[in-house]
Order: sequence, then C-alpha cells, then structure tokens
Amino acid sequence: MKRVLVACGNGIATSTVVATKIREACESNGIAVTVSQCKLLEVESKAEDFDLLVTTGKFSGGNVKVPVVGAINLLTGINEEATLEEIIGYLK
Amino acid sequence: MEEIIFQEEQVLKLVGFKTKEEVLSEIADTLCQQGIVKETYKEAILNREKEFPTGLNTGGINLAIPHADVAHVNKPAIAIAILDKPVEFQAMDEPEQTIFVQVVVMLALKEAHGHIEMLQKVVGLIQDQELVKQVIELEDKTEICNKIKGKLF
Repeated sequence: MKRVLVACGNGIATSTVVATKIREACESNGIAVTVSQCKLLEVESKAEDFDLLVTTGKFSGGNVKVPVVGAINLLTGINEEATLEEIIGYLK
Repeated sequence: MEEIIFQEEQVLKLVGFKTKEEVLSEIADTLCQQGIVKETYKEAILNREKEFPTGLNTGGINLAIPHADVAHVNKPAIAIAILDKPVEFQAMDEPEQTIFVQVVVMLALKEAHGHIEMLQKVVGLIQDQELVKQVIELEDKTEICNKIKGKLF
C-alpha cells in the first residue's frame, strides 16, 4: 500500500482538507493508500517513511527523496482535477 | 464534537485597515473578547502568518485563512472579516508572492485533524466566487452571516 504524507503550516487545517480529497480520489480510483498529516517543519524527519509528499504551503524544508506535489489547487479549486490526477499518477 | 460557533458577532466589516497585521489583530482581539480564543491566540496567529502565510490566490476575490495551534483556542469558531479595500498578504504556496486579500476567514480550531466537514465547507466557500462576490457587497451583518451560514452549515 502506498503511503502519502500531507503537510501544511500547522498540520491541522489545510492538510486535513487535502488528505480527505486524496483519500476520496484514491477510493474512487480503486487505489489503497494510507494518508498521514504533519507540519511542514516535521517533513524532513518523516518523509522517508512515505512514497509521496503533498504540501499546501511551500516546502523548502530540506532534502527529501520522495516526489513532492504542491496542492494549493485543491484549496483554490483552480486546476484541481489536474493536481488530483498528478497525485493519483504517483500512487498507481 | 463541539458545535462550531459562527454568528453575526463573528462577522466583521473592517474599514480603513491597511496591513494584514492590523486585520489579523482586530479579528483575534474580537474572538478573544468573546472568550472563544485565549490571549495567546493573537500572537500565535501573527507568528504563523509570518512563517507560513495563508493567502489564497483564487483568481477572483482573494481570501486568507489564518489559523493557529489548537492550544490557543477555547471554543471552536469561524470568524469572517470583509475589508473595504484589499490588503497585502503573502501567498500560501509562494510566500514571496504578494496578493491582495479582501476576505479573511479566521479559523479557531479546537481539534487537530478534526472538523473535517467544516474545513471542507470553508474550502467550498473559498471556491464559490459568486457567493464571495455577493457577500463583499453586503452591508448588513445579518445578511452576510445568513449567506455564509447557508454555505457552511
């Protein structure tokens, strides 16, 4: 099962919305995933346990080896589908 | 789960505010006076905005969604401030980018990773630019409150 880490500034608000949207999109695409949330500041220490990092704020927190997708579009609604497809693409 | 407070008292029409710090302080002070947040909330909000800005570039009326750690909150609530003139915020995804924000949706969250339904509805509100455009034209706080409630509850 692929593991997704969703990070935002506080790890409580926008990451909750984005994590839910990823879970829903994966479910409707028949993809099994586990989605976790954290603060942007925690990313560097946690990212190695995951297959994909998704952030709402800008991630500049150091070196991570996993792919990173910016998910601001899931909040603004602009090109939301394209961003969800990009995320799904990494999880198939 | 505790019910999220959003009434007329949490709707602010701000006139003549020039900086995001003034705007954020005013909303945080209001929530503090109402007993919704602790005295530490304002500083937490201001610091958080500096470190991780919350401006959202919607392509229409831009919004910001400031919030702080659950430790600073007494009761879960949402406050909405409508500014007569947009003020500068930094964009959440590109902190060096300045955007002009006219509606501030301040979230006083009590549970980490909770309030999922409400957060989704807040995002729905942000994306409903037709509604946002209607709301900023309204003068009456009751009308503003009812319009937003229709979307959030």
